Amino acid sequence: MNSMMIPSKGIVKIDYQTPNMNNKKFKLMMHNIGYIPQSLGLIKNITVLENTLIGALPRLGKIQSLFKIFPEKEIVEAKKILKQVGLEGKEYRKAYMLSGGEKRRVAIARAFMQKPTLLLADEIVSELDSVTAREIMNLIADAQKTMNLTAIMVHHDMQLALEYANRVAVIKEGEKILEIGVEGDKIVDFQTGNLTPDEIMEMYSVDAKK
Amino acid sequence: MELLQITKPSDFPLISTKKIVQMNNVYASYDSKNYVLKEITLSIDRGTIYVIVGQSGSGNLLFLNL
Repeated sequence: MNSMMIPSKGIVKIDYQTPNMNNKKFKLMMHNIGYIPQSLGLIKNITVLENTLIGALPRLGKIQSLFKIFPEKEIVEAKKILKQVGLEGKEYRKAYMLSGGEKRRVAIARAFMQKPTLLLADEIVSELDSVTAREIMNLIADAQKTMNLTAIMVHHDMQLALEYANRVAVIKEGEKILEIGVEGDKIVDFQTGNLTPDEIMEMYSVDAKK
Repeated sequence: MELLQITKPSDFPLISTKKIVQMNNVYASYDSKNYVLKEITLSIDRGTIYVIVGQSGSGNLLFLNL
């Protein structure tokens, strides 16, 4: 969905458009897709604030972005977002000084700085303890409500997925074997319509034990 | 009310106005021989959290990269 790869077969559409980097309209839309890789991609020897401001680069002019001259309002915005993700008071720390959870908060702040409509995150909480993982997921769940964000995330923890997701798709050996919708305690099977909630819970508990 | 007129049968059969990502029968591979993703069909609504669960190496990253 970040269009780094092209499918061999089939159709992918993002906001009803076929990904095409030569299409200006699509390219503009891509500015609003936030992507957090598993490695997070933070720059270690610059501050938290500077890392966050990188998310504003697509909005700036060519010269401004080349020399990283950020207008005051972007800096104010970045500080606001850092407060939102719980990094107030740590704006001027260097990124390498941060803990794993804090690094993820910076990566999320950088993605929010893009004003994303769509956020892609790869295994963002996989290396964290369960309490911190939930704190990070709460940030995304809050943004879903306040910014109407759509988040597509890859996890290996089914428990966490069921707690936060509206939909969960299970992929095994490249095939989608299960797709379920979650609404409170209710679990709905969207893939086949044949599985009972008990069977789904059974599948997921096996998955969690692995 | 949200269903639109279908113009091309080859496109998605159902189009509601609020889908942000749609995939129809998508196959993808890194080396154009072995498909890492097979027959992926899904649609993702705007404003939802969609989680893909899978073991490492089951094509999750490729999925995001499409």
